[in-house]
Amino acid sequence: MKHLTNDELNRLVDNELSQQEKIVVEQHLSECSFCSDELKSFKSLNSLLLEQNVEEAPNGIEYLIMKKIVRKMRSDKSQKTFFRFIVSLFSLGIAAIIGFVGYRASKTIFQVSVNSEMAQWFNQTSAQMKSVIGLVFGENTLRSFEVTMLLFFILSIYFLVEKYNAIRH
Amino acid sequence: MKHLSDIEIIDSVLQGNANDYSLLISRYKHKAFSLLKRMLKNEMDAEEILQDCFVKSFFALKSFKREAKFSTWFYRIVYNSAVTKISGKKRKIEQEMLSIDNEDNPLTLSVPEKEFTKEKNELLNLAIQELPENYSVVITLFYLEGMSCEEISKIINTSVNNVKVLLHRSRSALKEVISQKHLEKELL
Repeated sequence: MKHLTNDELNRLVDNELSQQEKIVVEQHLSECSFCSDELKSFKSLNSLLLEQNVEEAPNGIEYLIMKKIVRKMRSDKSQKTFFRFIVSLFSLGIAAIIGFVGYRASKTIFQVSVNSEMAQWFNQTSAQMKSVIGLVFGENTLRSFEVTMLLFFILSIYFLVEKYNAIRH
Repeated sequence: MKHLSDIEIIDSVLQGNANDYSLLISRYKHKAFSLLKRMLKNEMDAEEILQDCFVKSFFALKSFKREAKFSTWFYRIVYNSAVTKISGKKRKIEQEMLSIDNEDNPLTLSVPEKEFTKEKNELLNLAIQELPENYSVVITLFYLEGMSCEEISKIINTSVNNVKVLLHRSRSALKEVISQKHLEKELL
């Protein structure tokens, strides 16, 4: 006599057999003590598995996990700060280059292309002021001052935008 | 105290109350630990991976889509982390085996005979740990977590029918382990 397969027995335990299959299996079970015993074993295994208890996680694991989370949050934050510092430094360099180039270019453009009375007056007044200040502080000091002011102007715009984004998020 | 749902806790954590995450930890730590211990067959590894999984899921909470249950999403992280750990361990052991041919294989995780004097639940756990990890994970998720075959299929990334087949095979394999260890009287 051919015995029932484990699959058939398992499907019977899980109530997955079709009506027709069930009739055939039950017929066989009524005649075969080996398969009946096997079915009994599967059923008790099923109940045993349903009754089993959960294994307890070690004590204090919440504390360890939360500690790890806090540590990771801090390290992420310091990484972010470092990254922002690097970006700021890089922006500072870029701003310095742009400022210097802009200063040189604007100076040339004002001297060559503006012909209105207002511009001429502006050029003359600023040239006089520059020569007075230049006499007091020296031409090179004045130029460095102009570049630095332009640089600070660009930097303040950058930090304002940064701050605005930080507040928005 | 009001019993908060998983989603309510997640919302609170995402709003900046990081400490509320400990509620989720205490809710899932035991079951996830059971699953990991059965898959990894080692308590220390299970504890280490459990901590990593909770940390990982904390930082991934923003990406949690509420289409699935949190438990399904979280157990997927647990399952994948365990699988990664197992494959890393196997690779390490294979390398060791290449260099030391005649040494005992540390992956042979046979349960010492004396341990079988412990209570029923302990015996069952030890028997389940003898199963291959794909069997023990299905058995644990189905019986211990009370998950449906559909949920399990999402966690282990397979079809529902495959989960059913795995469940039947794992039950047969468990029965086989029990009879090999002569534990029928104690357990069945």
